[in-house]
Amino acid sequence: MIPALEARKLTKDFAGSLAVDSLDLSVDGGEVVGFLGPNGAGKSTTLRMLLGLLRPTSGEASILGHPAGSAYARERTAYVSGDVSLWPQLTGREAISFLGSLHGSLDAAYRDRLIESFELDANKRIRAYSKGNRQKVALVAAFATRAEVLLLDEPTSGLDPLMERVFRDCIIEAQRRGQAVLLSSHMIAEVEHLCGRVAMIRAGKLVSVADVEELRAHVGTEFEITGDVGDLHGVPGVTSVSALPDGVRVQVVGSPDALLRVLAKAHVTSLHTREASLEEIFLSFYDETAPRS
Amino acid sequence: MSRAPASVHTLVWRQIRLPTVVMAALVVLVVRVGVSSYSLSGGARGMIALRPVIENPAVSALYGRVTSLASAGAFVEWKMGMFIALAIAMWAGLMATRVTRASEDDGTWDLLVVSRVGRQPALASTMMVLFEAGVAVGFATSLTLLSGGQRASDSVLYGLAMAGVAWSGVALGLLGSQFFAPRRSASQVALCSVGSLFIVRVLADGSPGNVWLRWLTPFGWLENVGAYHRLVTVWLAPLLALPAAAALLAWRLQRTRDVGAAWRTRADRSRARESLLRTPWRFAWRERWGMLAAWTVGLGVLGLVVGYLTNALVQLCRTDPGYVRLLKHWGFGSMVTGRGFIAEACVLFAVAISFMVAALLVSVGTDSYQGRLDLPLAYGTSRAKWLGSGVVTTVVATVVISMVCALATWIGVVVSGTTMGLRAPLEGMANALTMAPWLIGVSILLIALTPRFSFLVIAMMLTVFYLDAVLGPIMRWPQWLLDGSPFYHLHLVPVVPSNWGATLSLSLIGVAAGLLGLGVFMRRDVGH
Repeated sequence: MIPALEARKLTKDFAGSLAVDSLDLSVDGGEVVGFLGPNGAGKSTTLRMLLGLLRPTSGEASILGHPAGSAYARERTAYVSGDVSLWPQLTGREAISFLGSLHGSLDAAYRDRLIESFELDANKRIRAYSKGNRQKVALVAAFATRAEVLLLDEPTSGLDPLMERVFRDCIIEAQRRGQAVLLSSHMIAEVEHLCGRVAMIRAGKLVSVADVEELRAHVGTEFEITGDVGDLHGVPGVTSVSALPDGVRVQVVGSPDALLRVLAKAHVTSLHTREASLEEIFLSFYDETAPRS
Repeated sequence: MSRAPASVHTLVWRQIRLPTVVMAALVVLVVRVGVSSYSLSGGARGMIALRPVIENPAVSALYGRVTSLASAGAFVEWKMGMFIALAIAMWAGLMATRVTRASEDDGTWDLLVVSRVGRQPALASTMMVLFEAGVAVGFATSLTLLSGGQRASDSVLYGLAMAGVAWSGVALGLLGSQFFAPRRSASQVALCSVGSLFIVRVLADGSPGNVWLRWLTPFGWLENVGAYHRLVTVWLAPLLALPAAAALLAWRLQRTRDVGAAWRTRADRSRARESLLRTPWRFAWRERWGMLAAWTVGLGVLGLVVGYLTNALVQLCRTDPGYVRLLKHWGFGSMVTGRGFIAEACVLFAVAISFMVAALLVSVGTDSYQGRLDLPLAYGTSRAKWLGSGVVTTVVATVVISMVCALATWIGVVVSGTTMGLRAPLEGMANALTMAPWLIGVSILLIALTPRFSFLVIAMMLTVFYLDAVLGPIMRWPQWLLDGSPFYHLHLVPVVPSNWGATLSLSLIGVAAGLLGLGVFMRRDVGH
């Protein structure tokens, strides 16, 4: 099957500054992939290369098997940036209509429903909109085109929590319709909620692409044990041990079988387990001081 | 000055230093050329032939009234002073809206306001920089005249008066920024105000009965200072004090409005009009229609005024052989007939049309570096289609507006009492259009290479080329330098046929530059 979007050894060098380095990534139709990374990691540069706005220094980017930026690719792509820039004299409705005309198709009924759901006053001029409302204009246009590939770069920046919920519903509907979504975001809860897979980028290099569950397994599970359990260092699977006032906290990667066998012989008064959140996974990848498995 | 406002002062200077240097350099160039051409024309003795000219009401309306041309300074003041002043006032107005209203539009003003600098000191520091920039340009004027051997007291006072004109432009820009948003509206109001004040001066000098109108405009005050012939320093008072008072008013007005808002707000709601949104081509019209309307009116009025001057100048040539000799000396020998005058006027219109072409085209570059091109390109339109829509719109609009200008000129000619067919101005304007392929091609290349600075580069290029073509032959510059200016190759149509050889060469250069520019535009990173 041809991936909805694909990057192969994608590289961008801005006059000696390597923004993206040999990035490989693919997203299939009906898949929502999160794209995480700290500021300046190369997320927006990657998305702009996938749109054909930036020319890769080397490597290839394609949309549905066609080169990024080609007419075929453009007609099947919609984009929302984190800082939407539009013509200030147009109204919101005119801007949506214009972008729909450029795309070639716009689901008018869905557009009207989206305008209502996002509570957008579409007859206001762009210059009178707040950042959040400009963002809504771009989101309505992107979803109403029903484009096969949605490239979203911090799309909810400036939106309030209620509107973020509307946005999540739109993504779920897009996924149900078979649209492919690459979602670059700093809202880790949003990514965790919506994305089956997450790609993490650091200093232009892709450091991980995996299911959220796989990533969790990568970081491991946290056990908080109270009681007299003795020394747990060296137990297979245990990656870290820290003392608590009446017990210990241990991090386990992989099967907890060995730990449970040790605990079975100890005096345990309580045991709590907690899986790592995506935020902790994110920090484990990017915080140089965080313990690594 | 405490450290924080000093930081604002430095920041604002960084924003306007390049345009200030460019403006000062242009003033130095024009004044220098004026001083040299005075001596090349035989100095005070050579100017005797101009006596009837400077007394002609039509000429006075255009250049201003002068009682003596006994020095190069007086000659510069009369022949070039008003146009230098107009350019300085426009430049100053644009600088003022750039560092005030544009900063509020893009949110950078918020950072200053919420910092320990505070809103009022930030504006005060900004105003200070603008006034200093005006003084710098005035100083450049004085220094050039002094270095040309002109009387020190008059040169200093004339430079100070020019600084006052710059301050007037600054004041209009500052007030425009208080009343209107976004920057485009504030700049349009400031420029229209400068233009209106210039027209008041034209009316004042066009008829002896209207002289009192000079009191109402900074251009009139500049004239009343009368450097190099009848120095009346008291007129420096309104030139320097009234802009300062207007700036103080702007400073106080800022305190009473919201940051980012303006006193006059246009309706933010509108019914959607989607007919001009369906294709990039239609949108290109919609995006430019305001500018097109302004250029049509501006060039139409210019055509009418120039056409109306035809009869007065032709009559003067018939009665004054000395003036004819001087015209010939300056390379304007064909102006002795109505058709010749119209042919010369059409070369002047070609300059204006060139600036219009550049202004219409560079919005493609502006859209690119301001990030507005991201969504259209991501939503299906191609770079070539977007650029092509801008080019086609510009070409069609240029042809139509040139013909409107030709028609207006002909109406002016007929109203002035001269018999001339419509064909003459039509042919002259068609000849002016032969520069369009060259200019469009070069503009595309510059937009592709440097979208942010494309208009500045094109404007400087056009100014230098025009000065080269007009002044080069008088100053006996080398032939290769003259050949470098496209304006130099514009024949005086309808007096002589078009220069088809040069048109072909320039068009080929334009096509090559355009294709190269298209190639670069297709491959360049958008938003950088």
